[in-house]
Amino acid sequence: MIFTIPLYSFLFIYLIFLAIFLAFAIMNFYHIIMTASFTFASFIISFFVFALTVLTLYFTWQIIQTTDWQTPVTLFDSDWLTGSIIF
Amino acid sequence: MQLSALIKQKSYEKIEFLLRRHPITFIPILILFIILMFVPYAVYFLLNNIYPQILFGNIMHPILVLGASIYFLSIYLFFYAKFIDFYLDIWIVTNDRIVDIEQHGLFSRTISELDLYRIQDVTVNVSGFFHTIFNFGDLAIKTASSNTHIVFYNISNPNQVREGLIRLSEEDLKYHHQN
Repeated sequence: MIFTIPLYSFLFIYLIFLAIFLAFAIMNFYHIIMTASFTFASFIISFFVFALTVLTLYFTWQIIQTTDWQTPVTLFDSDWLTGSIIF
Repeated sequence: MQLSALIKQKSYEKIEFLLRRHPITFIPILILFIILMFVPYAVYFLLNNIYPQILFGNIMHPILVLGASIYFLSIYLFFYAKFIDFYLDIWIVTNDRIVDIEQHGLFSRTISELDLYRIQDVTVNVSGFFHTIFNFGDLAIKTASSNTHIVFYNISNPNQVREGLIRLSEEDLKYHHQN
């Protein structure tokens, strides 16, 4: 018995993480605005975090854009237990 | 939002001090952030030397890239949240009162107020090598009538602030005795 999932399942997990990331980042920025703390220092830090985020997303996309997301990923194969296949 | 709106500044009120923690107290977080940024490179170096086939497999490669991306984004978020925690602890001293705003994590904030004329005792505590060199420390304010106890943590020039607070408190006390 073989249990497989397509590789794009991991992309969905990544997108869910991005949504959570975005929500928390916006909440942080909202706190800065609501406490009258949008100063030069908080602008620099916010810009720094934003720039790093954009760069990370850009390079992630650059590296994985040629990936075939339909590739099946084997999560479980009964042959692993019987010892017919050793990785 | 303006600071005056945040503290609901009265018409006769003037902001005398706006205090935050000394920037040097954020440096340990900065160092931790830099160390955490290097962890994936160390892992990459190890994997490249021990199991190079993992890094370039059709399946593992994109999964590792997504994992590394999640790791980096989590660090940025952690750093930003720590900055918020650090930067949003604000102490505002006006010619009438003290407003103490303390941020605890992302979902908790405490705001307390104290009238200047009620101040009984102001204590400064500067202890430690870096505290002495960079002149920052804690300033504790106590009142006689209640258990109100406000502490300004790791503020710059605490002695100067203490002198200012005592002066403002005396002026406010005189005003309250006259009226």
